[in-house]
Amino acid sequence: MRAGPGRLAGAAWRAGLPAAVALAALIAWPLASVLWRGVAPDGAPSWEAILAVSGDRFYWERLGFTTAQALASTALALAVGLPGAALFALVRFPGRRLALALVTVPFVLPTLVVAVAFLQLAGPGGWVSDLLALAGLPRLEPRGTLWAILAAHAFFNLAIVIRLVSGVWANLDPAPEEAARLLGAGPVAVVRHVTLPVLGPAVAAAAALVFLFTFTSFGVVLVLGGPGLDTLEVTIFRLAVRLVALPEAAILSLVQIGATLGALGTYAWLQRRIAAHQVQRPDRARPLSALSWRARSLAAAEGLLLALFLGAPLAALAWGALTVDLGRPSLAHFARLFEETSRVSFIAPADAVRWSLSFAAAATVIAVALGVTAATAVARTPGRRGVLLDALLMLPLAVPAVVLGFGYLTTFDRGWYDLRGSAWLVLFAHTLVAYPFVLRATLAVRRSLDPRLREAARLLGAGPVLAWRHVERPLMARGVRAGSVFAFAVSLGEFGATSVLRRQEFATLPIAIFDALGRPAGLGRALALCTILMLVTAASALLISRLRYREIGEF
Amino acid sequence: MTSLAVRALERSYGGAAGPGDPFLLGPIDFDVGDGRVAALLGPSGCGKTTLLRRIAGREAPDRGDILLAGEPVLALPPHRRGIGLVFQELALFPHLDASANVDFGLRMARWSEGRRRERVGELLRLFELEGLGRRRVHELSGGERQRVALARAVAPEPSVLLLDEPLGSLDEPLKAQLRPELREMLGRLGTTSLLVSHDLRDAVEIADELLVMEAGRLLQAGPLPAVLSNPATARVAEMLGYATLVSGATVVRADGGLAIVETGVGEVDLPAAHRAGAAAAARSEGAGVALRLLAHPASLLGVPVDSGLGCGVVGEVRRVLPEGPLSRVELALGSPAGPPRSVQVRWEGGGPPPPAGAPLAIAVRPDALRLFGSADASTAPAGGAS
Repeated sequence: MRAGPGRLAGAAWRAGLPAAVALAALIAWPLASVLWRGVAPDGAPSWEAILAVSGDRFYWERLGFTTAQALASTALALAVGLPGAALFALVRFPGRRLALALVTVPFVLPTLVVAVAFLQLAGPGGWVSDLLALAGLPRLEPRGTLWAILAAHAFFNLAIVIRLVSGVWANLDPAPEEAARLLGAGPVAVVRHVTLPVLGPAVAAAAALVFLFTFTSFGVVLVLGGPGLDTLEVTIFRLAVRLVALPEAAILSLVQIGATLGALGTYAWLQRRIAAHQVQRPDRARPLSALSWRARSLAAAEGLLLALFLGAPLAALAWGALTVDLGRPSLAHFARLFEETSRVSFIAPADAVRWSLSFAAAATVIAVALGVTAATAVARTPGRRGVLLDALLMLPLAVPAVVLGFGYLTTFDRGWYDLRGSAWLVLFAHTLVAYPFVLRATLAVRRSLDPRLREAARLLGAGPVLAWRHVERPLMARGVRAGSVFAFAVSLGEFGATSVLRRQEFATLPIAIFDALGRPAGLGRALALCTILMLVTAASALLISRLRYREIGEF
Repeated sequence: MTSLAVRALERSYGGAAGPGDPFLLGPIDFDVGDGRVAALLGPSGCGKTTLLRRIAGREAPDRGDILLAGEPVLALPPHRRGIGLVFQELALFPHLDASANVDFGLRMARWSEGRRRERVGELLRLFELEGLGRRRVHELSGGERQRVALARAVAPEPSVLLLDEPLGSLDEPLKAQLRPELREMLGRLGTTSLLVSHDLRDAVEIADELLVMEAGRLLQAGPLPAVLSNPATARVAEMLGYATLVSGATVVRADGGLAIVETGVGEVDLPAAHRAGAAAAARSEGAGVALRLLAHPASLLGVPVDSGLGCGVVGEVRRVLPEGPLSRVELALGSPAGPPRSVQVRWEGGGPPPPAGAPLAIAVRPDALRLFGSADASTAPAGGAS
């Protein structure tokens, strides 16, 4: 008789094979190719390039800055997000689910939109500057300052902290806290000595994820950064695309992949520790009316802070797009989108919307197929091999999008697979960037399924395919839905790889935004385009409001 | 001396009634003497946990008073009441090791470093946890966890210890092992304790006093042996494991004596020892008084129908449960038309017990019978002696 696990693993690899082949073609090959070209420009590995890069203070400074800004952004996101997580976990207030959905919106917003929103809010013509001017202080110029980058990073990563931590917090066993109260701990001591330590892994997991996303930040830094404020990813972009300095770009890519893999590994390890502490219990949140006045005013203050922090930039963005000359309502910015048709590099907004939606739809379909297959393979592979497979399949999240795009250009460049200048490459890149979200969301639901359900179906006579179709697939559907919403939004906002693969004929909305920003007096047009992109994204993000934390999975 | 006293404690409907807290509570009155271990017994949802929460100060009662060592404590916050609580699923701090769990309350009470170390060491010794202090909670066995929870609760030297279903989440073999252990630990501590459980075995093996509760009311309270042998009502008797032998009306015998008759079950002479309460009413009124006669299965013996030893009740053997060299026999009582009722008796006859379907008579000492009016609100019998 053959051993069960062995047979299971065999089935898993068969199921995972198509996904593995697709991933090998779409990521391993181009990545290996671009890295090999970098490290071995003449066909053999050359230590000179590595030594040149490692001896250059400039690159060390970039690494140092990238790490420091990621740490600071993470700290800021935690500082604003943790009280917010407490609010959502402990207080049942009217509109709580809608509020949670709104908090999620920034996370799915394209980074470029976030950057432009902060530019508009805090810029020389923004509301913050207006307030400062009223107080007799000079107007601000956020471009080229660190705090603008940090604020934007905290803005779109707040959702990670709030959703992940409040999801765990709401399911935390309240009994140890009561025990602490009875043993004489005051409210503050309970939080310090019991709640936070038990919540530790969840907070750390959220921090690891925020660190990951801010470490690889591209769009925000490109727009809001300036001299001395380039992250590794932006440096790689400049080296590879502007300077065609491949060896340096390849070596920096390796450094970045190493760092992101580290953050991903930490996150995965922490995720498993969270599960150990969690007790599935009914929602422990208490209605607003059951709180003391002090707790109520604290909750209200935190709610107001969140609303301001999350609402102001988006409101400023919409306001800026819909007004001219200091507040006169007008659609002039939108009208100007359609001017300059004679310009060689003109991007028609309607075309940009169409391409963005087409790429997102196609990428989501492929990402779902890929993600579900991958999740099934991971879930069916037992033990350490499953963990390894999981890490391998999450690799696309660790690869800098810019490097991915560059790899495509240098790999699919001859014979029948010469795809340079083809929209297919953009689609492949979007698929790869989006699919980890489907994998995570599906896997989270898939793992929570009782494996005996499948066994029961098999014993009742269903073959592997029928068991999957009638038992696993319907139960996984919610995770797949959540994942596909994320995938769609991520594709809509993808900027790094697309900026490398861009072509005038199939420019997406983020490309059009960046293009507008680079033109004289283009902020108005960028604002108008951002508003369009924000609306398109918000429409898909609204779907998320129907889904709960567990269904969103580990993101 | 009374350590814990509850006076006319009540909680009404309305307000924020949470789960497991659905109804009217009280008024409830009871005392627990110094150093005694009392068990609060009742079915799930009877309000015993609610009562415990009131005493611990996790919720405020609507009316009434709670006195600890003679002092009213309702106005005090939970941690100033001098109460230790062992939670239902122990609620140990999962991120701390065993000694840090024990130490927690001392740290909060700002004991000095030296005294804390001394006290924790002393407790770890007392609860036989030496060498386990550095273990995390999930590295401890069920019994060890239990002892850590106990040590944590008593560390700040509370005057009363409350235990909320302390064995509730464990499996039966472990419960059986931990009951005597818990009894032993509580005995060593000498702290006045109130234990809440829905399992009679917990109360019997651990407690000195027994409080029986149902539907938000205290039905009976007293020393454990007294309550066990003399339940105040038929309902309490049932909760303590008594079975109804006869539920019927009195008839006057030819010799002038009274008997209780239930069609299809049999008739039993009204025991001579029963003089008060329902028995007195029956004696004065004669025939036609509705009465219930209950007995604990431990006092019932199965005997052949023709032996002449039976009390007058005959059942039909349903199944035989071997018990070591002897057997317990489950008898079906009542006419086939009535609601089914069964009672277990011991079989100590020489041969094998009769097969299923065979008739068997029940023998019982008259002083082991308990008599109640059928309306349930009846009085205790005149006593088991004689």
